[in-house]
Amino acid sequence: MTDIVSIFQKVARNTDLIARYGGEEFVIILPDTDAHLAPKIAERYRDLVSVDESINNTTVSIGFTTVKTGDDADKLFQRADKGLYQAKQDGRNCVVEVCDFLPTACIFHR
Amino acid sequence: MTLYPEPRNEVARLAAVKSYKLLDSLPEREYNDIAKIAAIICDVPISTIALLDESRKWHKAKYGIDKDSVPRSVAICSYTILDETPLVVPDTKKHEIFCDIGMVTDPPHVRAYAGIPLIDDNGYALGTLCVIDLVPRNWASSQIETLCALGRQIIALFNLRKAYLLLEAQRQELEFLNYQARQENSKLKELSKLDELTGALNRRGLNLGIEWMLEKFKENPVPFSLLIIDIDHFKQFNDTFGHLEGTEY
Repeated sequence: MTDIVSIFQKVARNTDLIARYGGEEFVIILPDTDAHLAPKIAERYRDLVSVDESINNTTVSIGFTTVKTGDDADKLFQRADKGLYQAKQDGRNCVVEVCDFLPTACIFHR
Repeated sequence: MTLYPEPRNEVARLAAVKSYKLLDSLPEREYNDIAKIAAIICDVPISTIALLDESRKWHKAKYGIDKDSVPRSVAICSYTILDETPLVVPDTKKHEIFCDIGMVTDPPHVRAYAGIPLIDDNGYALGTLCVIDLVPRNWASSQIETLCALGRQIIALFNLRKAYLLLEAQRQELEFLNYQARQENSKLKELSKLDELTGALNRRGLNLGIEWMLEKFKENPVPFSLLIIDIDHFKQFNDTFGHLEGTEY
């Protein structure tokens, strides 16, 4: 767990907030990050975990979303959770964005 | 060196002397004034307010004399503190003990002495208020009574000082405790937002962070994004990296 967090911290920009959400789940808030930038950063997090030698063969799946007018915390989590669910369905070690209530973009990485 | 007699309660008396933290303090006008009043009332050239520590008669205030202290062995005051009553010696040369004592045989050649012990509320003779003349003489009882009254004023000043020291120590302790409590409080607040195992934010910290970001977004729509990251095949991760890391929750 602490290894994973320290990898996240390597990737994290100064403003990123890393939180432990549950047993094996983490949430990262990316301030000043729009829908163009978010997938790149999400991908960086995924990539660095997959290549890090301190946690051999461990990968992560990431669901993410960007805030919209009228959002509250529940809506944000629902969307990001959907992305995560999709990422797991899609075979793990990948990043899925959910812009609305349906996944609109899937980026695969194996 | 001539020996001098010690009061029976000398150890406790010394502790009492030190408790006022007056030894080697700077001169203070209140004490200087009392020494001067004593000299004027008794019509003498010299007077002192002194504390007697383990070796010295140390002058808190002095009038007509320069020395900051003299050895207890040469001071008549070493005898004054043995009793609770004033010690009056009209002519030291005619006194069987004091005719040989340093203050008499050497400068300033004390010839007449009147001293009263400064006794604190616990009965310890801390020191003396004394007047000295260089010629034989006697004093009226009203003059000695006035010396006693001045002695009580000196004790009152001592007590004020001790009360002040105590209050100041308590104030500092309170300030320190207050500081400590504030430190603890901010540490606790911080801890309660962090996950103990990983040092990342915990749920509470995360919720506060998201609420704050949403508030900011309403005021000024700079977008932010949210990632949810899940470790794949977590059970395998557990088996590989041990239960301490994996199964903590």
